[in-house]
Amino acid sequence: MKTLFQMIPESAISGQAIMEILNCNEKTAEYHLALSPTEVKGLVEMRAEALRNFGRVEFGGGIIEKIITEFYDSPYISQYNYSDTIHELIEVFYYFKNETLDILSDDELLGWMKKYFDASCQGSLDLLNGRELERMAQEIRNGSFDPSAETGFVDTPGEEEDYFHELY
Amino acid sequence: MNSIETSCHIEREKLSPKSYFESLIQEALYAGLLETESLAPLQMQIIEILTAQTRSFTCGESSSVRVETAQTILESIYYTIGLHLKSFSNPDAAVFELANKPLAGLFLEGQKELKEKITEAKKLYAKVRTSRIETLNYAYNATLDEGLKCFFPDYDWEFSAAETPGMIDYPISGNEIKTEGVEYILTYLERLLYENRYCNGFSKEEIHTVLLDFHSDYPDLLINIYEILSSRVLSDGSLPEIKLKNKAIPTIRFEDGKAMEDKEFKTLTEEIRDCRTITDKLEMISERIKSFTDLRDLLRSECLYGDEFSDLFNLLGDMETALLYQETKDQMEDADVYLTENEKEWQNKYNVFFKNLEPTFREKIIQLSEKIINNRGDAKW
Repeated sequence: MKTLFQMIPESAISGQAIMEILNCNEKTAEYHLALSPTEVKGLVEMRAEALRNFGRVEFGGGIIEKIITEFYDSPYISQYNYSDTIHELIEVFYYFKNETLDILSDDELLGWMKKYFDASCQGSLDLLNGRELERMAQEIRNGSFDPSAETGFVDTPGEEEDYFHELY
Repeated sequence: MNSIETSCHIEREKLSPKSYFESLIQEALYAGLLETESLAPLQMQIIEILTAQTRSFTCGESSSVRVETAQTILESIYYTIGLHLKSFSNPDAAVFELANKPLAGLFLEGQKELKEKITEAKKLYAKVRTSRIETLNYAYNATLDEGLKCFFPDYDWEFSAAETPGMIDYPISGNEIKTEGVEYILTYLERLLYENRYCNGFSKEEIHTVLLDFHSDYPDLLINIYEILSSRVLSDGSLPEIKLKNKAIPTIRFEDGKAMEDKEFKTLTEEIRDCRTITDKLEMISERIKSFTDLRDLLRSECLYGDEFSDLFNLLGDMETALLYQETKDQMEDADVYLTENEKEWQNKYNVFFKNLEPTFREKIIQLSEKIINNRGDAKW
């Protein structure tokens, strides 16, 4: 990539992303959430690293902006954990983008992430990552995931709860 | 950025045909036509185009793509902008355009030119197939029948314009072709057409005998038939056990006049459309159209209707009539798909006109068209 992008330094890509993410503060102010320029820079750097690790390229605010837009109204996010949560969600997103074989669009994947995060995971990133999304990815790969079902899983009642108790 | 002067600073030879856009910027920086500070805005504009193209590629469903995909799309953007910049009379003028117009506009112009070149390549391919020679050489036949054909459905001009799909095994004569994508195909087809026309001066038995004399396994070898034939003719003209029906192929090289600038051409077509009578139209055409390229563009510009076409065809000289005949005779089987309605209209009118010509004159035009080698380097289409 370096040879082709030699005309486009990473700072130029980051600059565009930082501006787009900072603009999100206007929208999230309603929920008393804001990211400082330092936090945004940290998120963009972390995203660049995640992208490198997963062999992907993204331009503009891209997924950070989308994650913020999807999650900022969650009852489990406050200014206290805002930056850290977005940070972790970025990693989770790229991991499961690959794990779901790019079958789901960004919006679909984020939609399910938000749904599980607010409902069955009650704001727990560990549950989101280690339970719901892992299961979803497995079912997508098996072809048994059903997007028309409430949770996407065609499961027997109680199974989810047992799994929860086993974990905790 | 503002320091562009009128004299030429950049030599075209220094620019890479494959990476024209990148090398133009590099040379412009060396020559001082662009300042280092002007690079950052260019980079931002490239990112904007790349972002838009990536979104378009994923149908807006994914904001990230694999690294390899992004590379291909970026190369495609550089290629498309480079194609437009190549159309300027000199590199300095291209740098001026680069410095003063938004890159997105240059990219769109490039895409337009790219599509026109694909149409041109399809027409050339049809001509190459019509003029093909009969030979047992496998590479020649496979390249003509399948290798070149699959370029057209496989060529992704939007996202992979710099790639050259197809299986082009037959080696063409002359220097290595240093371009890629549709430019490569156009150069290849132009050379192959020239070679075919040359080889058509020999019978298939003559070609077979010469090639067999060259190597008994010639059907399976990667050889250039034209080179073998021409070198044999040039060496002493003596061929083993055969007598050539033509040692030198009589050809007429057609050099087109200078085509009008787009703006001037547009004004002319508007004026022609405003004319009330065909006499006025023909007068305007004969006074102001000075190149075959413009004539052909005019025919598809909705300036003429019904019988007005044949009135114009009747005014043309033998050369123009023969050139139009060349244009219409070599259509591919799927011409209906790629020709525009306007194109089909004038070609149909021309076919009717041609069929109604006096037989000896018609034969004269056919013979003339076979001898013409059309050098239409600056053609708009």
